[in-house]
Amino acid sequence: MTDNPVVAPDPHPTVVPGPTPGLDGAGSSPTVDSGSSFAAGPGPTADPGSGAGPGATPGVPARIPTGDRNDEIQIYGLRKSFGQVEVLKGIDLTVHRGEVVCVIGPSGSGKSTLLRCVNVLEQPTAGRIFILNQEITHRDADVDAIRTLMGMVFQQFNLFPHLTALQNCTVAQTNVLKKPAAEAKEIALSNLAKVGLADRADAYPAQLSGGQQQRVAIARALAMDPELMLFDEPTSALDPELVGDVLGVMRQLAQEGMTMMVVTHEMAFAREVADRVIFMDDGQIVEQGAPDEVIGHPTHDRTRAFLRRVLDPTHIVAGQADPFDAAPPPSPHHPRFPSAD
Amino acid sequence: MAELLTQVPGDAPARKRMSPRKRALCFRLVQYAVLLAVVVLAVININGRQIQRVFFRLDLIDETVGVHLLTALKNTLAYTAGSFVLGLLLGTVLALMRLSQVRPYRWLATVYVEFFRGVPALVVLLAFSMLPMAFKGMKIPFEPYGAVWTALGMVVGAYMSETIRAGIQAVPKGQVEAARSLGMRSGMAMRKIVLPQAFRIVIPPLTNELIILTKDSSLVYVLGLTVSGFDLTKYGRDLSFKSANLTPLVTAGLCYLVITLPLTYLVRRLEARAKKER
Ligand SMILES: Nc1ncnc2c1ncn2[C@@H]1O[C@H](COP(=O)(O)OP(=O)(O)OP(=O)(O)O)[C@@H](O)[C@H]1O
Ligand SMILES: [Mg+2]
Repeated sequence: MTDNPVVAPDPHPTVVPGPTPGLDGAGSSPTVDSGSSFAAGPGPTADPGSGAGPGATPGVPARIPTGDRNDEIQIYGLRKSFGQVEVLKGIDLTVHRGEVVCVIGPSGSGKSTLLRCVNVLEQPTAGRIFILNQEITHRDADVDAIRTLMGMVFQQFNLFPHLTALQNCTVAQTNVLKKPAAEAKEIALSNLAKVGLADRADAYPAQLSGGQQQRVAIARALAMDPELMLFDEPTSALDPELVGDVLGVMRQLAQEGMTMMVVTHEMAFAREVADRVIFMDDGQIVEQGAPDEVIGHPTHDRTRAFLRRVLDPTHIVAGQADPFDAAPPPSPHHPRFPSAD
Repeated sequence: MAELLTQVPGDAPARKRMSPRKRALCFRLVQYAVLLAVVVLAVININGRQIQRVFFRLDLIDETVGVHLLTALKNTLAYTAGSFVLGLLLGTVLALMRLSQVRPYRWLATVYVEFFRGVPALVVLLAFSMLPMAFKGMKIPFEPYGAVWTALGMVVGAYMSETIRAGIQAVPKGQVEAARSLGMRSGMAMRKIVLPQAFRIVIPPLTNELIILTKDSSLVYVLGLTVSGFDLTKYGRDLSFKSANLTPLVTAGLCYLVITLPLTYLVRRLEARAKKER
């Protein structure tokens, strides 16, 4: 991975209002591979002193950040190490307004770490991340303020157990956004209604099923009126019969045009809802594109091997326990051992 | 596995052995026999009348229970409650200091905690009672409660800080992450999300602390208290000296049970509930 030319060190760039494409079309699928999208920005002309000349690395925009408000998440050269172990090995990614990006990949490939770097729950070792063109990785960035632009949904829900569903949805509104209690309550109730739990507003998390808890967690994030949502395996901790409700809520959100970055093992969901699927392995983006391409016709061996594991019901569901073997199987057939009898 | 294998029927040793069930039965019978022997010996040897005369003389019970027992009980409660509140505040501050990013705070708190856990509470109490003597003209407010509250509060605060710290650390990391991801600053996440849960976790151990403190408040007997400041122990001891009989002390001692037994019961309930919620 070559270093990205750091072009605009200005942490607060002037936002160039680009023409906003209509996002309300239900069938619209703004699938763009990252390479072309960088060039397609309505963008500011390259800064002469930028060093990003015409011969710059393909896939790197003329200016960082692009300044295009449709490039909601911009990730450049992201690396993350835990001690000696490098978990993210140079990630470049732009997520556009209204886009649903599903991140798939074997366990331990760094999907969660990537997502957690986006709102710096994990401090990147190197690289820059911009949320709506504000650099969240900047030393002097008001990280807490930028985080209010993003909702995050965790695998383990992480609801506040000492607060009711309603209070879970109001506590940050009143304390962070300083909304009056009545207004916060109204917003919270409407979001609980949206996830189908208006009648459980006064229940404590322990009184709710896993699926209900996860939907409250989604409502809690939505109550902050975020620009984009991050989901880290939102259904992995759920009993199979509860998965549908949560996915339903997420599908609805996607249809409403919410920008979403979803780490998931639900291939059917990714195929149906995602505008772009990203396959990660070993801390790198191996392959990305429209769901039908990546899931339906993967070009890389590692993607194929992974999908075979996930989609083949006779295998343990990938990502749960089975450590992924990066080496491609020796034969194109199922790598089953001949039974010894 | 290996043990199980030796139990396989065909493998059994030829020598006849008692079955495990029979052996357990025998062992239990022996225990009952020992108990019976002790009880019989006690009944034969104990002089019931003498015991009653020394420990439970009715007229002395009557005298002890008068108006002053209530005052003593109130004082014990006051010493305990004040020290507890002070210790709780101090313990919370110390716990936060020990978890602080600022290294000197961690050192300070550690030194404090290790010092006050390692020194007898009695020494601290005596030191505080002598402060006005050492510093001429110094007065500790709320005489005689102030000195006791401060001294016991400082000691119990050291113990509580460890409990509270453990409670804070027992709150899952995901809670802070969820709070931070909603834009809360770290202080707010601590106050609104972590501490309320931490205190819920530490209520049972803190109640245990309260029970211990209730009993430790008896240490004030070393202070030169006036009658109005007597706690249960001092009060019972005084009367026992006067009457050369243990009845007043036993009566006062039973009063501690009136406080501690309900608290013990409460702790058990709280712990059971906490276990259910987990
Ligand atoms: N806090 C941490 N400290 C040390 N190592 C970590 C930490 N968090 C993650 N890792 C390591 O980083 C690697 C990537 O973890 P990550 O959770 O991002 O994987 P993942 O793709 O989300 O996997 P899964 O599908 O199992 O959730 C793993 O090898 C993991 O052990
Ligand atoms: Mg993960």
